[in-house]
Amino acid sequence: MAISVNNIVKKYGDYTAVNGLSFELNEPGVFALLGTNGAGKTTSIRIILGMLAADKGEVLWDGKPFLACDKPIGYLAEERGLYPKYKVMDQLMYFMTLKGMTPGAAKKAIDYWFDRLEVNEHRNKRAEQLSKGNQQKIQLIAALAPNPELIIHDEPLSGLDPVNAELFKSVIREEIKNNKYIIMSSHQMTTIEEFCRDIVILNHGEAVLQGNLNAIKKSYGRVKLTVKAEGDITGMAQQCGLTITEETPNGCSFNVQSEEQAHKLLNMIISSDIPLIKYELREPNLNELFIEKAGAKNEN
Amino acid sequence: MKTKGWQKVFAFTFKQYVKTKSFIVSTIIMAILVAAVFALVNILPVALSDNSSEGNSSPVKDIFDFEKVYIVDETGIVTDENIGELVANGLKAERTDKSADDIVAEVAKTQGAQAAVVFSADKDANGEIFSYTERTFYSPNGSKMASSLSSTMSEFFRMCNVKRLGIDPDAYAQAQITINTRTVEAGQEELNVFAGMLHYAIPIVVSLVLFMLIFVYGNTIAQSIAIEKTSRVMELLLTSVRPLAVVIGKVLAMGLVSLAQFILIVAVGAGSMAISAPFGIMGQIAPLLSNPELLAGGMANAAAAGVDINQFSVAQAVGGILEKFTPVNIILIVITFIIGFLFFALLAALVGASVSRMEDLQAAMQPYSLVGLVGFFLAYYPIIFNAESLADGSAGTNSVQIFSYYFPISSPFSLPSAIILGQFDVVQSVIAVVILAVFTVLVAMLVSKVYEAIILHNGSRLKVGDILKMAKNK
Repeated sequence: MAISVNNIVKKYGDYTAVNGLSFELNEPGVFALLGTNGAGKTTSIRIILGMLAADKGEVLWDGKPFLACDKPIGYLAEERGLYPKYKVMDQLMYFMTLKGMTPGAAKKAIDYWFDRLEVNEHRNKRAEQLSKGNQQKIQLIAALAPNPELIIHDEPLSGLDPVNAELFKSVIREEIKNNKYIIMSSHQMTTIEEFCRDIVILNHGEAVLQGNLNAIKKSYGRVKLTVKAEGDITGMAQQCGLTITEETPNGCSFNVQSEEQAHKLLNMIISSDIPLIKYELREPNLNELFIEKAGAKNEN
Repeated sequence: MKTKGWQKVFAFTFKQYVKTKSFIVSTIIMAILVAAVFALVNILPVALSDNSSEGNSSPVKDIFDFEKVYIVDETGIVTDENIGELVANGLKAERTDKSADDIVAEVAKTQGAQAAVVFSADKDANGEIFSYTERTFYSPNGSKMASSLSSTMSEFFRMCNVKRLGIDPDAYAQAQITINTRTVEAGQEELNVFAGMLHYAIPIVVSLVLFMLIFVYGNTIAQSIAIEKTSRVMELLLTSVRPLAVVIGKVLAMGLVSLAQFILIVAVGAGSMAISAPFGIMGQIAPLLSNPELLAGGMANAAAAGVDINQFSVAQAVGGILEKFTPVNIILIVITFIIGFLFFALLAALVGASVSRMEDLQAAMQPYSLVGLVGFFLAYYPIIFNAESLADGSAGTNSVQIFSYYFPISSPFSLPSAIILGQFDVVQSVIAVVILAVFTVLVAMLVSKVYEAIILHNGSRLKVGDILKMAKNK
């Protein structure tokens, strides 16, 4: 299976929500759709799901246009919804039968996920009686129980406590192992970094950074330097042409132009009497890339 | 296919709705009310007639319990012979020469049951008598019998006057037989009093019930779609089915619920009528209803056959309506109901889909409510304007009523009763149904054009103009 998003454009009057977004998912794994609030992530997801028609461009499944309701797709929406007055089991059975499952297969799948997500005791409760976290688990069951090939998670971990966030992460890891295609949108960059292979960062509807995350990081090189010493190193840094970008109890951070700059600073510290506690030269993390790309554009 | 999967939406919506407490409680209350109303309509006329016949018989017996009835005749019409006849019949009557004031004061003081009856003449400026007055003054213990005594004495005075004038009392009684009047539009069915009442009551009740079933369920549909949209369940549903399948499944499910309630009302009403038949008017007229020749023979024949005239009138009215329940008419009524339901339900679905927040729903419902209420009042009020014509005995309809049978926003409420009462024949009814169906198809086309766009619209509430613009741009 392969999903191709080709140059999609969506406008609301004069406002362009998505402008020429293109990407491909041609092997299992997690694809991250990132962006600030209002960057066009949810609109893009709705276009992929066929809920919104794109003004231009197309979304193809194995090279052909498709309807989401005809394909094995699981969707965990950002703004979660369940029927508040209906029993959890009744509505899950409804969602499963809409997906074409037989009642027997649906019940078996739901039972598995009730156990897996530890919500068995809530099956006969009304949705409104559940906590937000448990409602989120029921939503996850609705998305995963039909065993979809493509899963779209829009902010899957928002509002979850650390224990449940870990439970959700373990489920996502399991889905990756099971060779699912996953599109994930989240503001939690560490989570994205933990799972994703390819990313696109949207800003005001446009892709400002796109590609394989490791390759992107590599292309930047080791440009992030963190140094912690027992004395003041500001003067030495200035001599090396470095300016402190952030100063925390964990040390001072610098953006370096080249690794030589960093090595020069290291040699100066070693030559001095100031004891060195920490020296780290690394590639930028996703959070730093996101802020650089999305933040810079916002400032403009 | 845009509607694939609607059956699953239909099954779920139907099952969940009939399980709700509000539906169960309202259905039980409605069934009890309908059963009670039908039983009362059946039993009450008989019970009231029994009471009133008991009431008629008691004064004849009770007025003889007066210890004394003093008669003060200021007119000079009542003779001693007349009073002797009263006494001979058992009334303890006695002429007195005392003034009315004196005898009234005397009666007021008595402990027993006494009365003073005063006959006086009312004269104009020329001294000509233009009316007589009978006044009955009773002691506190005679209050229960006073009105009976009064009516007996006024009739007694009339007969005294008839005899004084030398008129034969039997000839006078013959001349006094009631003459009923009718004003009937030529070509219209002539109604007896009961049929007139039914022609008045049935459209009011039927339009009210249909309005409740069609309009109220429309509201429920709008609310249900708005909940799905605002709670974001819709987004989950749309990964499995198209929006049109959701709306079709929902509308048809609520339509079935509404139709089932409609059938339940009819069945409970019929059942209640059947069970209470032995105790009510239906039991009395059942033998007449099973004798169509007698019903067709007219009142004179029925009277000659010894049939109670009132029962015959009721049987004629009920029989006239029952004969309209032909298979064709029943099918037309059910089709009108279904299409009418779809018409309003689809409009309601559009309204429900047009809001992004539940608090906007009430404002969004205003145009829909206006359409529904205009339709209902068009069906309801012309009947009230027609009351005089019905009381006169004419089954004629006014022009607003006829308009309401054809106009698609009112015909779902008014056409069924027009069919039941025979005010519209099959051809006219079919034309009205076709007009309704055409408008419903137009609404369905509008829904299929814009629903997908509307249901995913978030933000400010869409107004009617916005929706029509979307349809135009599609």
